[in-house]
Amino acid sequence: MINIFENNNTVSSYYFLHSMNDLTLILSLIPLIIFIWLAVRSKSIKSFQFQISIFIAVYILGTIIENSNRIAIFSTLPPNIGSQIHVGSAIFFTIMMWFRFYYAEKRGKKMIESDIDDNDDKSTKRSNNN
Amino acid sequence: MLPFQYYNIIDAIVYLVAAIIPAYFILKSRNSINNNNNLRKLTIILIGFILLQVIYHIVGALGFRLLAKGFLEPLSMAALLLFGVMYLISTLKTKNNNNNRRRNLRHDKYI
Repeated sequence: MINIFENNNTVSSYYFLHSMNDLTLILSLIPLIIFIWLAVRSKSIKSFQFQISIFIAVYILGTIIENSNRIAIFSTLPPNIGSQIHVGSAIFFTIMMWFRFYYAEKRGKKMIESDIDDNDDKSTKRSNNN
Repeated sequence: MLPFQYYNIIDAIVYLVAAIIPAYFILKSRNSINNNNNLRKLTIILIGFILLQVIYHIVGALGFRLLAKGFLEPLSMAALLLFGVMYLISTLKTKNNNNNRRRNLRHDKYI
């Protein structure tokens, strides 16, 4: 049996890690599909759905390259490029959150598009603007 | 220290900085009277994903690769999946409500 708290490099842990990497990839592909579909429906680059789908896509790319010892094309890439892409995706996510917060505070809007918000809020805002 | 451990530490710090925003919104929504329950749930799931990422990167930096890659990373992705599904459900619900309201308004006009 594999002890996940130990840092051993046995064959069983190698296979366990590979199967978990595949699971991670599948788990991250589903939200990517959901957010791409929502982004296409919203038809806006500025939408939260579009930005988070870019983050997930970059994250998945990093994960694939990080575990690239099974794929011949990626083995030519310099070492740690997968980790660097992961850092890039994290920075993009953080910048996205802070920019959305900054503009939401500045313009008095909500951070995530009003698809989820109550419609009452919208109508009250409109009436206040008029 | 190995290079991938440096990257893990940078990742953890960057995700922690990102976690400030949803944490602020949860604290802010706690005090407000007009609570938007769906948005609050989504924010909690998002902060769960971010914090799991932070823990995953810290554990990875400490050298527990099996725990980080084998358990915490899939768990954080499961949180992201939950966020995506909840977001989709909320969006579809709101659109349905909008359509129903429009239909009712039209019906009222005809009457």
